[in-house]
Amino acid sequence: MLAPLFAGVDFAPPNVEPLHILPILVLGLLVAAALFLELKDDDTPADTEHRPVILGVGVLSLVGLIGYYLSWSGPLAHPTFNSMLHSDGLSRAAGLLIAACALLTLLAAPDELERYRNYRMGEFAALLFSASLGMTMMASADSTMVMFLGLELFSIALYLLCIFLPDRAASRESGMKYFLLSSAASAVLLYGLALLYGATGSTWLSDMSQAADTANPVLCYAGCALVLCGLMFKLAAVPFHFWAPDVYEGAPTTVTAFMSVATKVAALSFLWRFLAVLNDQTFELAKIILFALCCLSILVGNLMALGQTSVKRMLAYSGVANAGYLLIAPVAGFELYQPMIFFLFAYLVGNMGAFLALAQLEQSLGKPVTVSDLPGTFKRDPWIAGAFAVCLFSLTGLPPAAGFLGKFYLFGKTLAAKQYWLPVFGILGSLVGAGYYMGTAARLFAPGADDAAAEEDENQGFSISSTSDLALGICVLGVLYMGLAPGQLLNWLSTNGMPGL
Amino acid sequence: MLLNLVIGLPIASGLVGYFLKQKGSRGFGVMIAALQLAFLKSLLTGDPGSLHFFSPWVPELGLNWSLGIDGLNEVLLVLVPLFTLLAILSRSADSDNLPGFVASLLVLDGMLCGLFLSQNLGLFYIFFEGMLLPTLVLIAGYSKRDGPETALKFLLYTLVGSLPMLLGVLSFAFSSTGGESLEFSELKTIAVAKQLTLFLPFLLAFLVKMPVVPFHGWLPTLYRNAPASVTVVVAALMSKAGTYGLLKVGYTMFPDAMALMAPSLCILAVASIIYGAFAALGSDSIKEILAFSSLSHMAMIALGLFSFTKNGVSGATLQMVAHAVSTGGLFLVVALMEKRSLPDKLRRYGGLASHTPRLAVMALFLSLASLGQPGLGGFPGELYILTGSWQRNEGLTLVAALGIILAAAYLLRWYQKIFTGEAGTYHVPKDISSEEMLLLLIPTGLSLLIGLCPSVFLTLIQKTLEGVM
Repeated sequence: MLAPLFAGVDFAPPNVEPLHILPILVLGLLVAAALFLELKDDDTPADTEHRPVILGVGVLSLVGLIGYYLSWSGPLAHPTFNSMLHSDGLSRAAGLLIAACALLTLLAAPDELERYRNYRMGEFAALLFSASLGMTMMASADSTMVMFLGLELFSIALYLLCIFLPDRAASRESGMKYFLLSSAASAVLLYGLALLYGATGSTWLSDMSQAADTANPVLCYAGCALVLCGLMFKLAAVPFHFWAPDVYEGAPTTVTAFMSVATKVAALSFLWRFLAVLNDQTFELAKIILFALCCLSILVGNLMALGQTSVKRMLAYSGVANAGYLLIAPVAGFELYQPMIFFLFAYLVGNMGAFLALAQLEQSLGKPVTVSDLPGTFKRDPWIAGAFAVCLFSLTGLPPAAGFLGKFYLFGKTLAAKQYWLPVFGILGSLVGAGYYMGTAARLFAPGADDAAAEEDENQGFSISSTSDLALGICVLGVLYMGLAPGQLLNWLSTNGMPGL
Repeated sequence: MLLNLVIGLPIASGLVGYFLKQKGSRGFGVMIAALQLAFLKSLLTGDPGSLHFFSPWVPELGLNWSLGIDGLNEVLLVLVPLFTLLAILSRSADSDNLPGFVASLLVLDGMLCGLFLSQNLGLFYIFFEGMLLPTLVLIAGYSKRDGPETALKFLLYTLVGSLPMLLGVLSFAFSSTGGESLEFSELKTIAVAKQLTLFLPFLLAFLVKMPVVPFHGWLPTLYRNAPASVTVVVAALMSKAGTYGLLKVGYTMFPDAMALMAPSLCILAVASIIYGAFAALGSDSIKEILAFSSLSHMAMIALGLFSFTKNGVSGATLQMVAHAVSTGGLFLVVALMEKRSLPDKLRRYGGLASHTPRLAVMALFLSLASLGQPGLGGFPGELYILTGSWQRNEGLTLVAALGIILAAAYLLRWYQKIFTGEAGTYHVPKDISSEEMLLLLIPTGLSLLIGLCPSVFLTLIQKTLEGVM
C-alpha cells in the first residue's frame, strides 16, 4: 500500500530477522517495561510494589539473553537488519559481556539505592537497560550511523546513571563532568566519521573498506585519528583518561562497576571492526599510535593507582591500566581476537567483583572507603574480605584466578605474534599493579582497631540483602571457574566464530 | 586419583575452613593434614602405577594436569602436611581468629603439595604463585605489628622474581616452533644460547624464594613480624620451593646454562653463607637469628646444587629435608615460647632452662641438629655438599666450611643466652606440656633418623638423580 509513496526511491523494506536482532529487541522491550512500571509507582518508600516485578523481569530476561548467546547455533557470521548490524562472533561475545555486566549491576544496585534512600529503582533499571541496548548496538554495528546512535544512547543513559544520587555532590560532579567531556568526545568522533564519509563516500564500514584504497589519504588520516580519539576516550586510555577517576569516584559504585567494563567492551568491539577496514598505510599509522597509547596507559594507569588513598580511585586508575592491556590485542594483530575476548571475560568478573565488594564495604561503612578503613574487614566479614582479595588477585594476574589465564593467554599469543616488547611492558606493569592490588588485599586482612569496629556497628543499621551477595558470589565463582576450568569458555569462543570482517 | 586428593583435599577443606567456628577449627585442620599423610602413605607403599597422573587441562595453552612422585619430591612431600599439622598445633586454641589461620595454612599446604608434584611447567608456575594468597592472609592477618607492610614487602620481592619467570614460561608455551607443550619430560632439549636468556628469569625467581643475598630483603622483616607458627612453614617448606625449583626446572631444562653460570653462582652462595652467619651473630632478636641461620643454611644447599657434582647435588637434596626438619623444629620452639608471651629480645633472656627444662633440652637438640653435629640431621648433607664442592673449587669450599663453624657460634650463642646464665626479665613461664613435647619430638626424631641412617634417603635420591643429571 505504501509502495507508490516510494516510487522512484531505492527502497527495500527492512529485512528484519528477529532471531539475529533478538538482544536488541529484548533490551528495548525491557526499557519500555521498566519505564511503564516505574510510572505507576511514586517516589515514596512505601509505594514500591512494582520494584520486584522490574527486578524479576529484568533478571530473567538478561539470564535468557545470556542463554541465547551461549547456545547460539545459527550462522556464524551474518549481516542483518539491512546489513546495518553484524551478527557474528564478536557481536555475540560483546553482547554476552554487556548482558552479564547489566545482570550483575541489576542484582547489586537495589542495596546501594536503598542505602542512600533513593527509591527510583525502576528508573535506574530503565537507564541501565538503555545503556546496555546502546552498547550492544555499538558493538555489532556495521553502519557508522547505527554505531553513533548506540554510542549516544548509552552515553546519555550513563550521564544520568552517574548523577543518580543527586543529593551527593560527588555524584553531581561525576555526572556533569562525564556529560561535558563525553559530549565533546562524541562530537570529535562524529566529525571523524564525517571526514571518512567525505573520503570514501560511505557511512558503512564494509563499503569504506572497499573505497579505502582510492580515498584521499589526508582525509583518511584525519578522520581515522578523530575516530580513534573518540574511542580512546570511551576506553579511558591515556591521554584521554582524565575524566575516569573523577567520574568513577563520584558515580554510584554499582554504576561504576557497570561502566568500567561494559563501556570498554563496546568501544573495543567497534575499534576492532574499525581497524579492519582501514587501508594499509592508515592501519600502520594507527598501529603506531595505539602502541604508544597502550604502553602509556599501562604505565600511567598503574603508577597513578599506586598513589591513591581512595580505593575507588585506585580501581579507576586500574581501569586505565587495563585499557592498556586491552589495546595490546589490536596492536599485536587480528589473530589475538580470542585472547582479547578471554581477557575481557576475566576482566569482567575480576573488576566487577572488586567494585561490588567495594560497594558492600561502602554501604556498611556509610562513607567512601579509603585504604585506612580496610583493616579489620577480615575479622568483621570474612566473606567480603575473601571475595575482594580473590578479585584483586585476578586483577593482578595471579593464579589460580581468571586474570592469570587472561594475561597468560594474551601475553603468550602476543609473544607468538613476534611482538616482544608488549608482554615485557605488560609484565612490568603487572608488577607495579601488584603494589597497589596486593597492598589493598593485605590491608583487608590486617587486624583493625577494636573500638572503630564497635563504632561502625552503631551507625550501621543497614543489612546487605542477598541479591548483592549473589552478584558478588557470581563474580567470585566466575573468577575461580575461569581460572580453573577455562576449557568451556575457550571452546565457546572458538566454535562461535570470529568477527565477520 | 589419590594424587589429586593430596592437593585437592586441603585446598577444598581450607575454603570450607574459613567459615568454621573458633572451637574445633584446630581439630579440623589436624584431621585434614593427618588424612593427607595417610593418603601419601598409601600412595608410597601402594601400586607404583598410581604415582603418576595425567589429564589434559587447557591444551590450547600447553597446560596439563600432570602430577608425579619421584625420589626428589617424595620426602619433601611428606614433610608438607606434617609441618602444616605441627604449625596448626603450635598455635594456641584461643588465639585470635583461628579458623582463618587454619584454613590459610591448609590452602598453603595444598599449593605446596601441588608445587612439588607438578610435572608440567605451567602447573608448577601456577602453584608457585598460588602460594601467595594464603601467605598474604597469614602474614597480613596474624603478624603482631606491621602485618600489611610485611606481607606486601614479601609479595613484591617474590613477584619481582616470579613475574619475569612468567615470561619465561610463556616463551616456552607459545614458541614459534609451535611445540606448545609444557611437560617437563618434553622440555629437555633447548639450544644453549636460548637456555642462557631464558634461565635468568627462572633463576631470579628461585633465588628470591630461597633467599640468597642480595635478594633477601624480605627475610628479616618477615621472620621478625610474622607469628612463629607461620615462619615454621615459611622456613621449613616455602624456602624449599626455591631450591626444589632449581633442581627440577634448572637441571631438567637448563643444564648447560646452569653449568656455565655455576662458578659465579657458587660465589653468590658462599657470600650468602658468610653474610647470613655474621648477621646472625650480630642480631639481638631470637627470631632474626634463626632467620639468618636459615638464610645461611639455604645458601649451603644452593652451593651443593651449583657444584654440579653428584655428591654436591645429592647432599643438597638431603640437606633440604634435614634443614626443613631442624629449622622447622627450631621455629616450633620459638612458637611455643611465643605462646607463653616470652619476649623476642635476646638481652631480656637468661636461665630459662631452670624454668622449662624440657623445652631447653629440645631446643639444644634441634640447635645441634641445625649446626651439623655428627649423628644428627644436618651433618651428612653438609658433608656431602662440601665434598662435592671441593671437587670444583677448593678455596671457596674452605670459606663455605667457615660457615659451619660460625653456625656453631651463633646457634650456641642463641641457646646459651636464652636458656643458661643469670635469670632475665620475663614472666616465668610454665614448661611445655606432654602434648607440646610430642610436637617437638617429631622433628627431633626425624633429624636423628637422617643423621643415623642417611643412606635410606641417599639411595633414593641418587637413584632419581641419575635420571636428571
